[in-house]
Amino acid sequence: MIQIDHLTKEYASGRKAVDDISFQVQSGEVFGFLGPNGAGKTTTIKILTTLLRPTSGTVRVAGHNVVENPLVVRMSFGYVGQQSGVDPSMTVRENLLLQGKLYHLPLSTLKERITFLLDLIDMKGAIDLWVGALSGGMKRKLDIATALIHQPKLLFLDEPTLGLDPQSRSDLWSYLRRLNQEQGVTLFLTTHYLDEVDQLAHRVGILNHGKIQKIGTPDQLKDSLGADCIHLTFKQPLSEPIIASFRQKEWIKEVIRQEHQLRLYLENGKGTLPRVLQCVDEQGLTAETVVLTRPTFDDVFLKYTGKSFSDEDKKENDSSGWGWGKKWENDSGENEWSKKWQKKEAPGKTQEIEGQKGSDAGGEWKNQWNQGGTTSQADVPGKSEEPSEKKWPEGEWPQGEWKKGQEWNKK
Amino acid sequence: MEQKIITAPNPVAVSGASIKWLVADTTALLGKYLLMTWRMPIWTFFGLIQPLLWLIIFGQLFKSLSRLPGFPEADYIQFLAPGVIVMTVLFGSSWSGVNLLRDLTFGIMEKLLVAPISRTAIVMSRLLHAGLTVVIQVFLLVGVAALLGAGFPRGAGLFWIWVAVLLLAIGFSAISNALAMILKKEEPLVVIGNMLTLPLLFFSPALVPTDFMPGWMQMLSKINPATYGVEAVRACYRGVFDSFFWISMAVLGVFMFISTVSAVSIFSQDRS
Repeated sequence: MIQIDHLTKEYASGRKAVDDISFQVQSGEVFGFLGPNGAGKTTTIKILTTLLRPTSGTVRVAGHNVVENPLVVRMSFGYVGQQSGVDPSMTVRENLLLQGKLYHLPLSTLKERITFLLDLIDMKGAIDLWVGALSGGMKRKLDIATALIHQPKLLFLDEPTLGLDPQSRSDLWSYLRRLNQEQGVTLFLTTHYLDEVDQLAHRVGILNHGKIQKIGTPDQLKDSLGADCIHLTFKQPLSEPIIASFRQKEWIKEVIRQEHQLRLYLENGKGTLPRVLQCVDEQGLTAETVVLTRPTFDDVFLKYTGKSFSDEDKKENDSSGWGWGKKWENDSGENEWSKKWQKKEAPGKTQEIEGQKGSDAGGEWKNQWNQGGTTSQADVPGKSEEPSEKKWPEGEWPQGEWKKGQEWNKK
Repeated sequence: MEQKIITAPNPVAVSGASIKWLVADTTALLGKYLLMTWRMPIWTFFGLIQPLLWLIIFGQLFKSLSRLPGFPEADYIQFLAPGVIVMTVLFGSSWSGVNLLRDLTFGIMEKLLVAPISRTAIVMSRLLHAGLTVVIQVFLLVGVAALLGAGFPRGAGLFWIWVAVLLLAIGFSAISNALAMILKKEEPLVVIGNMLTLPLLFFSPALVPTDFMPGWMQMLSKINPATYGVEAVRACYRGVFDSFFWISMAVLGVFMFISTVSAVSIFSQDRS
């Protein structure tokens, strides 16, 4: 469906947004393109959708070269952009009708198609509503419906759930899954939500600084780290010899350090946990918290890019100054994740080991995540009508990731 | 789900380049823009407030100008009305690019660009829309100016005045759209738009006859498209369709053609 060979895109400023990437996407596949802001995801998707020309390399979509044959390529796919492309000053019906006309559908087919699509996204009742009055989630669904008006076999989605509340996100996921399974539509989506690719994608490509770091199925990527992850937080800084001594242990597959934190990836975490703690003692260290989890995509990302996902996110944001800017307005110089860890440490002091079933620290933070992730959304003020991602309140953001993490914790 | 049985609407012959689709796409988009204008008629009227103020205030302020020897009209307001009509065209069409930027930021433009429609249709529909909006404004303005004593276009002038206004409006909105594509930001576009419209107006015979201008201004007014707009509209008011009128119309036609072609090519190339 998509074939990319040695694609490079260099902007006039000399910045290489995409640097020699090659991969393929099969028909019927859901391919997730994962990376922080500024990694080159949007640039890649814009080249695939003929919005940008590649600097070098060949790109074929649905069998046609995007440079030589852009009109045929445009006919073959649907595109859901980062911003909502539906016009807020028209009704749902008018948006769909116009889109159909632009794809040159005969009026009778178009009307049937609109009925079908509105049925698919459960928006039959909203047909004569103003798009400007729709919620962010509904607008996104309408975006997808307009992109599907000409029955494309391929759908590009550029960060489709950006700025949506958790409920709308999981709704959207289920529509996308249905689209793939029932209609056989190939999905190519970019995201910087780690759980999104885990939920949706058959295969994942990790993109960072314009290069593909790794491609594989979600499970492959996670398994490459071993079955379990032990996450230790220390009071004192960690020196190189200490890290090296952990690296020497043959039962530890991978050691990653982040300031005062250590992530150990290994098989049989339950069995090896005592040995890990013993090692900690031998090194004369005091562990503040010890958490045993399954590796998440954050760990995968950390392994292949050497940076925590959110570190990258922050850095890119500082330089680009758009999108998630609001999230980092807190000038504290610390990233969101480290704050979460600090919150976590506070209750963690009374209870050294957590992570197994029922070992809930019971701290404030955990309740917060439980509520946000699994039960009610009552405490999520993000359910506003405002589709803009900039309105997302501080501190609420990474719910999805945690929801997933907790499921594993319960195992 | 009975709808599932629907077979694919066999999308189309890829013939976006053909004239037939060009017309169909332009019509579809033009229809959309006109619908939006129809729903928000208030903006069309807002655009008239400033020209009316000029007509009333300038008409009073320079009333005695017509007593100068060599002034072409008996009453200054008769002289001023065609100038204010061209001013409406300038102000009105300089906003067209701002609307393009709105579509760019909302992602609406992106959605159009991935559709199999020609870039020409996207630009043409915008220009036609801007032109038609201005024509409606001028229609209203001619009525009000008549009430203020400016008289009425004579004979075929009633027809040619719309043609002249449409050509000028399309030409200037093409420039506005091209600038919008180059600048990509609203603030500089508005600043440049304001910076350009007033000199264009002053270097034209909109407010005073060219004969009254210093030599260098007369030179500048010769290369100013607005000059030919004012002359054409004035000829329509007088009902005199001499060779000078046809030259003005031809200049307007060439101006419209060149600026439209430039706008389309800038728009089509914007894929770097």
